[in-house]
Amino acid sequence: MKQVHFRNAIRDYYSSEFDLEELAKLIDFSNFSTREFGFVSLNGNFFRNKSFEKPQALHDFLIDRTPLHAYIGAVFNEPPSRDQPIHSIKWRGHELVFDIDLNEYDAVRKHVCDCQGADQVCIRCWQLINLAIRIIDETLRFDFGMEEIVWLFSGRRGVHCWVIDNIGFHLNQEQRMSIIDYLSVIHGEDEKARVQDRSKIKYDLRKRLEQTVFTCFLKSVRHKDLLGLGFSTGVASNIMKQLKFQEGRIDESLSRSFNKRLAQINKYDEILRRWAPRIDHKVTIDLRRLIRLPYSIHGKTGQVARILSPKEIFDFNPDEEKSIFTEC
Amino acid sequence: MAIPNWFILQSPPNIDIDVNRWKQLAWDRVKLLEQLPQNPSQVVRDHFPTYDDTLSQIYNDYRLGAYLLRLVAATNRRLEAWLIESEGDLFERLYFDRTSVDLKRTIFKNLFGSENVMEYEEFKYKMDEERNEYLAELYHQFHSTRRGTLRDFLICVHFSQVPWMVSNRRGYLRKGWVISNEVSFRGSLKKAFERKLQGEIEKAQDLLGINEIIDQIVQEIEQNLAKQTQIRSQFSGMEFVGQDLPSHPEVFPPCMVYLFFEFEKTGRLIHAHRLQLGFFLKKIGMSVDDQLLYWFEKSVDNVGKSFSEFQRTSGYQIRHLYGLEGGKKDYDVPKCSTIATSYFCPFVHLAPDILVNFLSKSFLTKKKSRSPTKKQQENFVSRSAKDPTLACTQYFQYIYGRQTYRKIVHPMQWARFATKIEGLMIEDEEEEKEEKNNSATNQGREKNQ
Repeated sequence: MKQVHFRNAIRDYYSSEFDLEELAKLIDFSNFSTREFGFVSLNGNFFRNKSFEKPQALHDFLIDRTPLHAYIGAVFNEPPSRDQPIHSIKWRGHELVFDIDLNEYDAVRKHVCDCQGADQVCIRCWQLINLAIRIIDETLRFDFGMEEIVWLFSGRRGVHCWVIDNIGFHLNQEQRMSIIDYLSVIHGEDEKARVQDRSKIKYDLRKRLEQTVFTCFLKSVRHKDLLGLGFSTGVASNIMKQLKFQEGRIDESLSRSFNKRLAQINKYDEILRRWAPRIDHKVTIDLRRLIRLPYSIHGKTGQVARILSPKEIFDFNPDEEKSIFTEC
Repeated sequence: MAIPNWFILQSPPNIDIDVNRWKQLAWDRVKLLEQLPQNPSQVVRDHFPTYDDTLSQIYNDYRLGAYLLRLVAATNRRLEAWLIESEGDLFERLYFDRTSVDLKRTIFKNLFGSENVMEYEEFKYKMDEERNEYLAELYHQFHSTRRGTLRDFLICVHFSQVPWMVSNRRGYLRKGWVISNEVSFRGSLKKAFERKLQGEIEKAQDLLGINEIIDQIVQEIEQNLAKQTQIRSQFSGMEFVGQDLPSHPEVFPPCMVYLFFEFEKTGRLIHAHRLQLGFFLKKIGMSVDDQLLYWFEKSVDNVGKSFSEFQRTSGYQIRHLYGLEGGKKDYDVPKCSTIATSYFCPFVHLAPDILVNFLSKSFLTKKKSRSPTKKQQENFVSRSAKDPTLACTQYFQYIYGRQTYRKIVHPMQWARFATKIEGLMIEDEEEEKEEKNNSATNQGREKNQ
């Protein structure tokens, strides 16, 4: 019964709301026939190595087969198929993609919000994602000179960044890895992951990282967070008073003085460990990896993996997103 | 401006040449490449004089010899790897010793592509970065000294060409360009050269099978050269042969101790860590058969696999370490700086708490009798964040209670020092002496009887 509801909801969405023209803004349709797609059917079967001659064929497939999840892969020199799987054909290119997911923050989320369990998401822990978006977006634009950057809601607990510049499309594994290395200041996933030495984070990146992290931290800081970091009750109260006086506005001088205070109690690394961006490396580096098709449905939540407009990027709240499953 | 005449990626000169002479030129090039690791400065002094205009015939000969070797490499993947590596070393040396500043700029454009290289001034003007404080700081850093203006210069290379520099944040990254001084690009330049040479070797494949005589020479050189490179790969681990160091993990450096016991405990290591430990075990004298057996017995992924099956599959990697497969290269243990970036160093990769715990478990011997105190451990940890090699050296000095005049920058350096201190080398020599004495006395007794 439930499956029938899902099928109808998915079919309704793909036939009435899914727009190929919107998809064309992200994906170059000139090499559409040689691009790989993958799907998870309603009964949970996963299949990949699928290609479509024209975008309309993909649209028809989505309406007809109503997959729970739809994924998109790389462009090859020939159309992938079951008889001609991707490991037997030559890779041509893939948009540069970054995946930021709250799963990556599970080890440190307890210091930021009061969420119980890995599945829960709240607006406080979503600040971690907003912060990562800010830093990655700025770094890609100013340091790497990339201009066409699009952010998408992943449909559940994260966001995807698509760089649709021509240069990103042809980058090889080593070059993608280098971008990830440049952006990563934390090595390891657990609570005690090593933070890179301060002297190795240089120039604009360091300035951007410190300013954004401290601003975000101070914006949502609570008295108990400051005490937990090791500040004395007096200092913690002073910081809270100052924040209250400035009505939540975090200027450069406040962020600089906080930086100094952190250095005094030797907790600079601790703040970065909790707040610095954590990217799922494999998604970016693996050239043959599938990623959720933009504007497709997330089969678990029923939310759409839609593009986030520049206005809402930094203040997006996943709880406010509609689910097509609840509507039916 | 033209690229320097030693640059072997220039197209070869007129190919109208006697077959035997051509063969001889290729062997001359092989000889030169083989001499290079032993004394690079001498090779450059002898073969590449600076007044090169009057000696263009020499360079033409070099290029002809190199061209034939490229054809040979196109037939054999092992020789391809050997040639790329050796020519890469020679390129690095010649670039360093025999290139003027202007020629260096030309080489940059030739190897990275002219669209991927920009002069510092041009970058500032084109990108509208005249007021960038960091650029001004960089300029001041590299052009304020007299030496800086003469030898070194700032240059901008597109980030896609120098991934290693991006990964390690060497240089200032702005609008997709890595801006740094020429010296810091050298490693990436060598890699770009090797990539380009590989492309030339691949292109050379099309030239084979057209002319019978050329095919015959190529085949002949390939057979002889393949034997020679095979022989080169047998010289591993000679330094510690017969001392059974693999059964004395207490003399291993901390990185290897950690990996050794981690593998003993879990039966699993990731690829990079397996390589690191494998190289080390090879260099301290473990034979290829012993190492095959070691990984087969300790690994947990071999359930249901016979030893011969293991030799056929995973064994390839182990034989590769010994230069018996693939490029037939006799790999060395990576140095500490490489380990810190690409392999495993406890002082770099372990979280402070785990590092303290690990350092407290020093494997004590008669000579290594001091276990670090808690304060000392914390010292090592704080030192490790700034300079891991210094932390490692101080750890060595502390546990052995001895001074080292040099910093430990290579795992084999630790192994050598520790073996000496532990007396493992001397013991063997003494045993030999004792054996000799025993045999002499036995012979004497026999004679008397």
